[in-house]
Amino acid sequence: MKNSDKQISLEEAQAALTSLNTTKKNFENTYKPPLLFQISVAILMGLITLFTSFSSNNGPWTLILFVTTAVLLLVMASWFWVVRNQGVKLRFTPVSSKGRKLNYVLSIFVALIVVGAQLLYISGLTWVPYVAAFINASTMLYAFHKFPMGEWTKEEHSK
Amino acid sequence: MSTSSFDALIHAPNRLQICALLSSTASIEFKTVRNELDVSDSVLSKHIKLLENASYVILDKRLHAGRPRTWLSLSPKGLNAFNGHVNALREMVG
Repeated sequence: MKNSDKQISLEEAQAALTSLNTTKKNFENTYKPPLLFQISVAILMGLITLFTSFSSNNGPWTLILFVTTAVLLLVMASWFWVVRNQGVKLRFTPVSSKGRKLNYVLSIFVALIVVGAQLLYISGLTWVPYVAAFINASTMLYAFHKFPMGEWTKEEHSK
Repeated sequence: MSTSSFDALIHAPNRLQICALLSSTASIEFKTVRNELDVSDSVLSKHIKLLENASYVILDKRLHAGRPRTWLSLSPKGLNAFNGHVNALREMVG
């Protein structure tokens, strides 16, 4: 079946979309962060959530929080540096509107968990930061697994 | 926001893949794109030249450790055209 306006057939359009999807998937698989990196970032995010609550009473926890945050930033920067040396400059923010929305939603969710855990910890619920740390670490791991390049990619299925 | 618009220049298989790779990143080095597409330097140069002439791709040549490296990135016009083309393909498929 030919589409007269576009001069390509339905099959050609489908094949182009499938090829596009394969190219993006192969690229993501080559340049997505390794599992060890993903787990490290998830653990660091969990620790930051935990230490933010603990640092509300000040003491040494504030310093530990700063050090953990610095380590997280260093780990992230090192990944950008490794990929750049392989010939790929990653984007700091997604280019698509869906990707940006996804980033905003995840950032707001993580921030709410951090703030909520801190408030509940101050009010006496000392177990909450541990649960919050687990939630934020799991969220980070899920985000890395599902959206390795930070983008919302649409799957093109063969019909 | 990009609308649906079929683009014959982008639709060629290699150029479609080049745009797909560049749309996911800030920029990619020439040799990385060549390796991903598994084509020769001359073939890739020809496609890049066409995309550059249409102002879809921006070339940035820099020296790194004394060696020239060419970085490719999609221009806003190129990104818009690519997204419009993909939308047009999706509309055709339904």
